[in-house]
Amino acid sequence: MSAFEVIVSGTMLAQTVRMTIPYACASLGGVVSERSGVVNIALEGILLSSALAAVAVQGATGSASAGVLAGVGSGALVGLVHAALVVRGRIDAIVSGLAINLVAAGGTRFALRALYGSSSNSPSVRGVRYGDDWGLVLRTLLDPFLLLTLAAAGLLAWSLARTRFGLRLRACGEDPSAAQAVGVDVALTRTLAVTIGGAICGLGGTALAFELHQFQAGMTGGRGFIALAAVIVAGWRPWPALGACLAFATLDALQIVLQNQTRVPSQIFAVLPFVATLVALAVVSRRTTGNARAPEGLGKHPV
Amino acid sequence: MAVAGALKGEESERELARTRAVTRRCGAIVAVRGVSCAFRSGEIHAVCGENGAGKSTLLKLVAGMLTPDAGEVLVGGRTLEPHTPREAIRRGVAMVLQHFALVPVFTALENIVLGAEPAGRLGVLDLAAARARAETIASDLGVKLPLDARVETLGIGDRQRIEIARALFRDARLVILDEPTAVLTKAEASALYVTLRRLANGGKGIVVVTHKMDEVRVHADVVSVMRRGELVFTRSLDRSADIDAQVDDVTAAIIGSAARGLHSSRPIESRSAVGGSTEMESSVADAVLLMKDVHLGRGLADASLTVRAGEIVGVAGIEGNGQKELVALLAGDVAPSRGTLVVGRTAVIREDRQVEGLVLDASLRDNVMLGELDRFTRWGVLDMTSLEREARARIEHSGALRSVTDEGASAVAPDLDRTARTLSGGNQQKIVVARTLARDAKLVVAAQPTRGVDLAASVDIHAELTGAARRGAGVLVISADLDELRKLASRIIVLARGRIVAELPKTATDDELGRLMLGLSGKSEAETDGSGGATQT
Repeated sequence: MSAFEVIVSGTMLAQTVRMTIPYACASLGGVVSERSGVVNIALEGILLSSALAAVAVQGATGSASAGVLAGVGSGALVGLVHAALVVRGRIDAIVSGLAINLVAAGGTRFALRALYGSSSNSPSVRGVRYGDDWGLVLRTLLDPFLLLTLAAAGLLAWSLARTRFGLRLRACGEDPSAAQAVGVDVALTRTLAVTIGGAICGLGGTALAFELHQFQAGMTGGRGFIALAAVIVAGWRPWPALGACLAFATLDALQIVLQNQTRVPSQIFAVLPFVATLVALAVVSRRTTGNARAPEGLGKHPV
Repeated sequence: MAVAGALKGEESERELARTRAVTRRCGAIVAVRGVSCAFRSGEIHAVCGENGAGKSTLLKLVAGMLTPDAGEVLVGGRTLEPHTPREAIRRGVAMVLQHFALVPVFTALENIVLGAEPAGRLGVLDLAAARARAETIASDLGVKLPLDARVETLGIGDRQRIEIARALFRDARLVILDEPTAVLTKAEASALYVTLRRLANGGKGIVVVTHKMDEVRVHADVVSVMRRGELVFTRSLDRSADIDAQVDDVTAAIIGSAARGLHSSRPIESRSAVGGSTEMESSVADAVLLMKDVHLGRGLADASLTVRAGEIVGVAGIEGNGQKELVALLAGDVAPSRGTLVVGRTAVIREDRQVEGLVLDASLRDNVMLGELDRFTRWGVLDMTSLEREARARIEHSGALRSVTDEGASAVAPDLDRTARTLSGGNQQKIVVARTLARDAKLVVAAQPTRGVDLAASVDIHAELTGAARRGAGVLVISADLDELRKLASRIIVLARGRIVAELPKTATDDELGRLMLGLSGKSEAETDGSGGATQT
């Protein structure tokens, strides 16, 4: 098969879509959190800890749904911790995020050893398997994680624009002092936003682990940070964030194919997605007007 | 008895909110001390006082934005508990802050509903209902509200109306406005009071914080005066009696002791007369500023001006007629594009003290010594002892901490670690003035030195400037306040369209100056264009 045939194949499409999901979830989580005004670099740590939680619970109970719930729940929990530190404790969000990422990296390794006596990976779990005979593309498109991700994006975009909670959340992100002055409970709103963001991000961690049918130490490999870059590229809007993640995952999938199919040193392709991220960030950082800009109150506390 | 009881009942029915001996500290200062004050429906209640007297703090306590350290706030007859804006709003008290609490990227309608959104099931916003309601409110107010425009695209007047609409949207019965007219034009301010009167007549209670006595004279039903955190005066104004006398009482209460009183113009004038005119004439010899046919881009043309040591020269003019260029030139920010400029060592008090004069989050010590660390450095190490001594002397002399510290504070060492932000505008300006004058410059340029500064602080600042002139500096005062110029300067030049169109003695009338400022001829047919630099002393 030529490289071109591989690229336009259904396998490639399915691969790309599946690779998009962890990025997309993390980035939606970033959007909710940051639109409420809380900087969230903890996405990486949330992905990692929820991946482990999902695998551990599915391994113990044998139930995929329980695994998903554990992944989402642990994501929400870590989000809540981040919110508590930043919103209530007024700790710098970068410091809190960094701490969460470090604890998640070390903590998951520790848990891996404690639970399974391994320093690198968990025993394999089943993940979510269904409709094996449906054909690859159909199966991918009806993948529950994909559907959940799309639902999350749709619900998020809609509620930001149309609901009371969304309006208040945006107000907290744009001008926390103004929101507080009119009686919006800024701390509560932000805590909810970051927790919900953590839950969505946790869905992504679960999808990542179930895709590989196991947990591996450090398996997120910087996805949380790429997702954060996607948030910025997308101008803090849910659907464009999904688009940015899809573009990134496409490059990621492409570089795997190109590594296998050509003689060019593989490292050159391996850096492709990262270079693209850099370029995209450099371009959008010049953007200062329109809807696609950072919330004014990002990182600010009400006074 | 029965009648008195009935009256009392009616009184309390009209009462919307009351403070009972509330005290609130901000850092080491007691911003509000034991204040008891009532706010009733159907009246416009003006709260007056100098900068830093505690007016805003008191009203923020009523609006639930601050929690009292002692005493209690009653809203609707019950203690405000929990002490949050949300609870205050729920009980019908809303406050329009001086710096509006509007979200810039939201539309007017979104801002109006924020925090009190009409919503259906699942919290879905009902913007149609919100719009209908907002339109009713707008027509009640007798104004038009651009509901779909983003607030960041709107002017100050619109923003203020949105704030008021927002208060009414949540059924506020007591609307508190913190210095609402500070940012408005005269026409906008009168329109605002028309709206406020309408609301008061409709049974709302209105509280207005203001410095402006003419507003009190014309619009207020009740006046309260705060001084140094205490409520020193509350009375109803009776327009059928001698209103001027009543307003004079208010002014006296604001200023406090007669020594630092309203009649301040007299001591200063006499001082400048003694130290000024006579001595000045004799020490005229050396000029500290010589400008000859100076051009600066499009902003300044053919400007010729001499300032001599020991004299104060005033610069009048409508803003944007070359003042900014003149200051930039003298401060050394820019070089003249043409002409001769000879100037001695210059110190400048800039127009915007918060941006150009102070590091708001740095300590008073750092602020008052800013830019002079070289003098206190030995082998690259700061001599903290002498630095501290100098800073303390300057701050004590400036009087910036005088009006805010407790009575008898002169015995207490000033707190040099406070940040500049915690001072009121007048006291911030005193710090700027102290620093600027400490440089012993030959030429002192003061741009709008008392803008936004209360009366007592203005008096102090004027005394400092006069003192600098007496010590031999040439002083150039640029001000929009003609009274200030007449009070300080021995002669006044007028800037119009970037040209110096006239030079007048301090006896010039408002009318004369006004005509020249507008570019009309001062008297008969003195040319405004082409004859820049022409003087008519």
